[in-house]
Amino acid sequence: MVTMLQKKIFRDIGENRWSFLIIVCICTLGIALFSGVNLYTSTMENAMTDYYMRANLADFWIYKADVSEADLERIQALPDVKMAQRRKILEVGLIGEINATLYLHATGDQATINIPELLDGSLLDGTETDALLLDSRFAKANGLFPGDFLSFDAGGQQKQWLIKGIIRNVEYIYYAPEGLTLPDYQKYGFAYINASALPQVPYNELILSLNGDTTRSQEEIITEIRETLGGANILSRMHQSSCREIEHDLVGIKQIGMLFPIAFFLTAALVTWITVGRMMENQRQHLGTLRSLGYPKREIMGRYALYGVLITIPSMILGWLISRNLIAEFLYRMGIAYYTIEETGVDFFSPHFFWAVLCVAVVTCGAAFLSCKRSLAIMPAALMRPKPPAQGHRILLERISPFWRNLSFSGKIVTRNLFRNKARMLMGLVGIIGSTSLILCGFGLTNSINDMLKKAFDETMRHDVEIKLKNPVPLESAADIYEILRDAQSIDAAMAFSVYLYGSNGSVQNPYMVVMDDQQSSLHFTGSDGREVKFPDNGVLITPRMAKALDTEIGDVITAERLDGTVIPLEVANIVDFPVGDEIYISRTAFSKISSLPFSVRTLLVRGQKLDLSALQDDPRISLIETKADMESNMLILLERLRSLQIILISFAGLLAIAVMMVLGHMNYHERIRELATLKVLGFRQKEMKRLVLRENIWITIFGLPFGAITGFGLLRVILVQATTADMEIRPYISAGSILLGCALILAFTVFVNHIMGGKFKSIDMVASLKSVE
Amino acid sequence: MAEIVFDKVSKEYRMGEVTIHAAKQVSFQVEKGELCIILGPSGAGKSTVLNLLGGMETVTSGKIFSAGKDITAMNDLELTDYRRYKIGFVFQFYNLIPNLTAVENVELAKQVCKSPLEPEEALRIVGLKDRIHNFPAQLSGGEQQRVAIARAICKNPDLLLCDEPTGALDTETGQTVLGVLSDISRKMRKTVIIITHNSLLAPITDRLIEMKNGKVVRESVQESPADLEGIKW
Repeated sequence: MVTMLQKKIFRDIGENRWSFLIIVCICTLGIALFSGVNLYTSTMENAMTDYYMRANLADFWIYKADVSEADLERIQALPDVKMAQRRKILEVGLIGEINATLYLHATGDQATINIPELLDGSLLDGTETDALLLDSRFAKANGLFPGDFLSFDAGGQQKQWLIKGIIRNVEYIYYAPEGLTLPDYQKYGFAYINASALPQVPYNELILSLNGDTTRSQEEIITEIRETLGGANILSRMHQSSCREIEHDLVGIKQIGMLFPIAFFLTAALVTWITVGRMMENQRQHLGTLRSLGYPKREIMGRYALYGVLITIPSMILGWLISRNLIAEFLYRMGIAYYTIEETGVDFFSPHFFWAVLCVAVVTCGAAFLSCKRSLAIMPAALMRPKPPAQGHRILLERISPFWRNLSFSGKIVTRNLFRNKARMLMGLVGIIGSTSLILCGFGLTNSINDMLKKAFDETMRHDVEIKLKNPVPLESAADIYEILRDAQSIDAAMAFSVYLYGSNGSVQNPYMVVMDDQQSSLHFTGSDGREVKFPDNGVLITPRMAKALDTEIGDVITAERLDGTVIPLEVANIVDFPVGDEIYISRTAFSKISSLPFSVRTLLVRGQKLDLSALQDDPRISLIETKADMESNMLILLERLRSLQIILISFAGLLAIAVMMVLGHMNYHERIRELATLKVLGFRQKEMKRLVLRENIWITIFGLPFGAITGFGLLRVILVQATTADMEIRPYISAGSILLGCALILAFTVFVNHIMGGKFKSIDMVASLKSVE
Repeated sequence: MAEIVFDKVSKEYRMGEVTIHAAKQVSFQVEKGELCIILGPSGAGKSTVLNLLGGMETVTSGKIFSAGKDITAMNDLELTDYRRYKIGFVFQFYNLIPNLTAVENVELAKQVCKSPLEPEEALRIVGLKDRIHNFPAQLSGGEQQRVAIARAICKNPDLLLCDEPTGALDTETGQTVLGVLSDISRKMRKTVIIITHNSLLAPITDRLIEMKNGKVVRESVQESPADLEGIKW
């Protein structure tokens, strides 16, 4: 049965419905943003983990010229190895209409690691010598179906291959072949065949999975494998391109998705706390009446906690709906397009949702309960009288007489009101600072990314075209390419190979080591002070993020290890600002001092406009020709998901700002209705009333804006530091335009809310408002 | 025409199904400079009459003339100007702005007038000179009421409307407040209308209007009003 007390509380809420509704909105936004973004990342992680388990993704990919039966047995005998399989891998160019490259994996028996997932057609039975299982994305992009034929030369013999099945594979969830920033499904694909189809090709890859309960570190296992096989390229999941991409991809969104919503939530929680507290404060005399009627404190407090429950429940439901169906769904649609994985849809819940709801419940019920408790500590008789005005003193500014004297009358009133009502000012400031910082942080993310791209593509990269070769060749063998590019301003040859770097702090990094001419003009390096850095005669240039990851400084010597196990000591010559790419740079002179390896060309960096590159397009030695514009647009596509997240963040910050102003306006209106009615009776015009009462909101906003900007920058900084990956480093930067726009938006919201509140002045019932002391 | 004319004024409030007749065909007149008391038990419609006259509510039917102008024909803006320049209002519960000092509360009214009195002068008239920089919470009820009166007269209005000005005060303080009001009427030649349920106040007035159940039951003019000193309640 509904008690009268409950009934009263429901009616109170009815009377305060606008403030109440806005608080529900604020809590909804908080829950939705926090759980929505995190629901997306957890859905993705779960989907990946699940798929890795289901398809038994390898823990290591090992490359060696000839993996013998004995090698396989020795590896299988290692204590932590659960399963191992050898494969033959081969890159082939298609012959015929389709100009594309296929990456072939040939297994001797049924795949037990990296098990292909059949989508159409049938699997291989192990005996076919001219049939394959084809990459689903490649098949789709080229309009291929089971039963079609592909023609290519594998292991010395050209023949027709039947597409028996269309598959996807866990090791190719994200497939951007080396050198490509983005997948190109039309030109690059993969396929699985039987080992018996390639009798002349030796086994050259070994994949293995570990027991789940292994206690040893990756490094220990890698060392053990290397000792067992005697020199081999070993890639762990950390380095395998698909796994690494997915990992990096989620890191950025995860960090932004954690920190930004937490800041958002904090603002929302503070505003809610103060508002609910004030709502209770306004119930003061009712509490006195209830107490004098003999209601026990416990019962009153228990009932008033209903405020919290009634805010929590609708925000929970709305928050969940928005988080799952809008935010997580939107991010999922954007994200899933890049991955070749079954679309299972967004999960229903992630633990973040329950945490968010719990926080809202604690904040709302807590604020109601505590505020109620504080009031109830007063004797009922005192409680029934209106709150003794604590306003009986002057504010500090009044003691500065020159200032105070020069203030207009309304200026005095506005100033005094501002400083008198601390709760009101605090709530206003928290709301403004919170939403300003969130909006500016959102804008700043865009600015910082654009700034980073500008720095990378306009300042650092001076070349216009990058030509990647399939295999490194001696400089002399590339002479004909140089000849074709004779109109170019300059051509710089670069040698690049993957190395492991070991930091003194125990961390391992896996960048590319790029060796270039001492006098190269394609890359413009600058130090942390912005000054140009030339290639030194000794040592390498590394990026600040690499220096941080390895905990190393200029002058330190770090250990580099090539994939074949050759160890090279490297001195850190300088730390250069290079925002994109996981690379370290060394001059040919410096390289020749530390390694006997001959220089070979992997990449050509070409400067020059309007070059005719058509002659190179079909060159079999070249795997990729990319212009600067291509690179930049690929980079933008890659960052699209981050941008879509920003749209959500900025719009939520805007909504929060409006909601905060609205609730502020409403609370002020209701608390001051008596004052407003008095002014109205005295014959004040609407404009004059607005000047007296609403101008303080503008002042609060103006006070809050600079602090909001500072907090916003801080938040952006923290987020970007967290989101830095080996590949990319984004410096916090908010452009003056963004700051102006952000502040203008917040100010506009304030003016808008003032306008709405001002409109309500018209309908104030003077008689009813002034009838008696409530 | 008299300063104030109520001509068959009716006011109805609709509360859902029920219609409350707060004032039924009320007619009376008040001359310029008179001290007039509207007397009646609670629910008689006194406050309604006062609110209508103050331009805080609109009539259902009938006409009200104040200084020859029909205020029932005024729109919202004109009514604001009417309140602003013609009316001073004193409430039973003072309705001072809590975070303005006494003098600032008076200044607040001064802001919106054409020919106001100086706030200090208005406060001197009501007998408050020493405590003008105190906040309402630091003043007694009678002092607050006098600040409210000072606020009303500072506007230098033609018409002072007082809703139970002594309702919340003890006899002695009430007398002081009434003395102030009668001085304003007698010395400053302002029309003052006081509503009260206290019949003991009746002898001091120039004109007495008695109301009951929303109707005027008696209207009387007293040639020689009694002195304040003799009044006790």
